[in-house]
Amino acid sequence: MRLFLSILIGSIFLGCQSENRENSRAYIEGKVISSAIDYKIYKLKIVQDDVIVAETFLENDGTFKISGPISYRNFSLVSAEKIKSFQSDKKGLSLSSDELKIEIPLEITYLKFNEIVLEK
Amino acid sequence: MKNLLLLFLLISTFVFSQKKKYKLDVVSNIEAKVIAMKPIGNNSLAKNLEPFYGFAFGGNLMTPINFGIGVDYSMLFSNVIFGKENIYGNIGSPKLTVIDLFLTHRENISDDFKVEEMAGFSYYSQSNLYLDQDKSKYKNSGMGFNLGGKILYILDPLGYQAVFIGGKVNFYYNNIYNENPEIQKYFGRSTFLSLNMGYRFNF
Repeated sequence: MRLFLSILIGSIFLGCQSENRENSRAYIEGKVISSAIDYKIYKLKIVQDDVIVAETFLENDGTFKISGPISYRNFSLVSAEKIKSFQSDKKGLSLSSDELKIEIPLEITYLKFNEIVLEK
Repeated sequence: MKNLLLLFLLISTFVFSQKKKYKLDVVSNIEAKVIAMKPIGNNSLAKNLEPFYGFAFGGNLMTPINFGIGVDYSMLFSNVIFGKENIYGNIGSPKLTVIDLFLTHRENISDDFKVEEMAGFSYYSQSNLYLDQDKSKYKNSGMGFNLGGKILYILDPLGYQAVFIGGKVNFYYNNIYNENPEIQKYFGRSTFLSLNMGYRFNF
């Protein structure tokens, strides 16, 4: 009975917790295509407000998974080499003028890149 | 005057006798313990972090009918598993602070041994350091409930001191958001199994 009551009241508590977009997670997966990068050096980063919240190396086949904590603001995926083109499952992404960043608009927290082609 | 004296006598008798009659024989105790805790399941805390180790302080109030209430304040520390940093994020030194509030029930197995079971709510506060920022912390909090049990061994004939070992299951839910429900679940839920041992002082 006590156990039952605890679970009941506990679930009410949990029901009251609303999802909070200030407390988001960015999760990006995909594949980088390049002929000349060094996999031991090349890194992808998730950057928000000039803070690196996640970084990763590539797998041997060029695929990657990267995730980090973000708040409800724009963030970007930063590449160490210039990006020629990219293709993803979401719309509204744009390449920065220095071609090193893919800017990700508000409301997108999960992204899958079919390919990110580097100039190199 | 006589009547007044009688009245005083009566009132004082009633008041004090009542007080004695309804006084609950509640005993209290405080305890300190060390904890090893492992998150389980397919979630970020289980897959990306090493087991947590830490310590806790707590206390219980126990009534003569062997039911009581208790509180535990635990601090647990872990590390990110090498090679999982890409998923966990550019944050480190995970620390989990847990406050458990619970109802507890005691069974007297013998004069020396007691068994206690508990069930209640938990509040969790998790903090990590941003690796890219000086002294800035990434924090989030969660809620859930807990179930546990412990075996106590009484050390002295008067029953003041005891040692115990125990186990606990904690269910953890937080409010991290991701538009993909699978990812949200991966970062937002967990189940913790923990073992603890410690010392209790009754008074």
